[in-house]
Amino acid sequence: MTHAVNYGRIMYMAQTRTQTATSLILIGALMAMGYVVFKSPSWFWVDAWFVIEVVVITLVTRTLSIRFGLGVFAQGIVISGLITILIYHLVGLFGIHGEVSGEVIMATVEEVMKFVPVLLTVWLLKNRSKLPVSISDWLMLSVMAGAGFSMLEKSFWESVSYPFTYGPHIGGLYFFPDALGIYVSGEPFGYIGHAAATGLIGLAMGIGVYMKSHGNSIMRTFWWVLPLVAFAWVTLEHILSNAYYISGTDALLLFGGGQLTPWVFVLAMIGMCVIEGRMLRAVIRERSDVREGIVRHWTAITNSAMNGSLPKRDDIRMLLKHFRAANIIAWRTM
Amino acid sequence: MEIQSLLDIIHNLGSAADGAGTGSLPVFFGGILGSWGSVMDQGVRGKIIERAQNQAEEAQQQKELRDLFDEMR
Repeated sequence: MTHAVNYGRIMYMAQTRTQTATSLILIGALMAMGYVVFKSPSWFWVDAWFVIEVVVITLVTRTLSIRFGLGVFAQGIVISGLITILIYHLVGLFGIHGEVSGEVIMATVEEVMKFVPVLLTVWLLKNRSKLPVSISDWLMLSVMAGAGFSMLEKSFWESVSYPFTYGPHIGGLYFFPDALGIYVSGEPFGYIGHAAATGLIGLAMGIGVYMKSHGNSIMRTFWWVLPLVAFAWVTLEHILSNAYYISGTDALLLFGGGQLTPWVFVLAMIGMCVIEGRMLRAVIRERSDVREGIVRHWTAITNSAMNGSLPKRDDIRMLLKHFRAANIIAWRTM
Repeated sequence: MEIQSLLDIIHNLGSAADGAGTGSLPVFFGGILGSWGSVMDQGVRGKIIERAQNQAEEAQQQKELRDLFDEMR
């Protein structure tokens, strides 16, 4: 069944499309990141490290290149950031800045706005380019949009500091570097960070969409519950975390002070890896053209490494393109 | 325009941005450039060009028709 898809056409779709657009995206992203690096290098790395982790984890299971991610990163600054600032000033007209009601509105607006560039990109991809979107794509796009928003926010932070970082870690290296906490009544208390919060919604959306097309009748009917619960979870965490600084409420402690969220994220990510690993393996096993492309470039890369030289850039680029093409086939045909 | 006036305008824009809660204009400019590239990338540019070409063709056809009527007169 899967042989009905033309591999040449799929490879074309997986390739770079316009140099001008790519240049604009790169210059824009570098300009935005460069300013944050210049102003506050430590805050830059908090977001950048998480983005790098997600880009690496999804390297062979995405259908989209990092170029799309950087575009959404820029949209996270403009669409999410600018609209949130406008709504912030609108809320100010009602005199509820610094009140819990104002924080409820603003935290909800932030979480919604961070996801708008992701939905826009997926909509354009599906309707204009007719490209499928994998769970890894949902994750990367969401993390990028959240990171764009987060860097904009951090670019005007002054004298902000937190006593600790939480979540899974190896020594001093944390998987969620923006999961910054404080102690409330002696208990750890925090918000997972903008990029990871939007990433969790994206992950849930991707798994939900997968359940809609691959699950049983109950999953197909109620697939939307998963992204809705993820959205409600991170938004509530965001609201209660911000509300503490206004009214001193420690209601977030009832939900574990936000310490559970990083582990929920990791669990969802393991689910993603299992689902997509199976799909990719099936395509590689079934299609000789896909297998040959991947093996050819993988062999060239390992041969270079064995000879003690650096692999050719073209081999790495082509290997990733073959993986993207394989994922497009997997999501189109399975 | 004098260079000093231009600098004053840029300074005022920066101050206005600070007053609006963000002195992060370079981040915004970067975001705008990147978003522009992203929109181009996602095919909107192609649609706009296609529409512009259609309109140009239509205008050319109308011009040819007008010229034809003029000749007939």
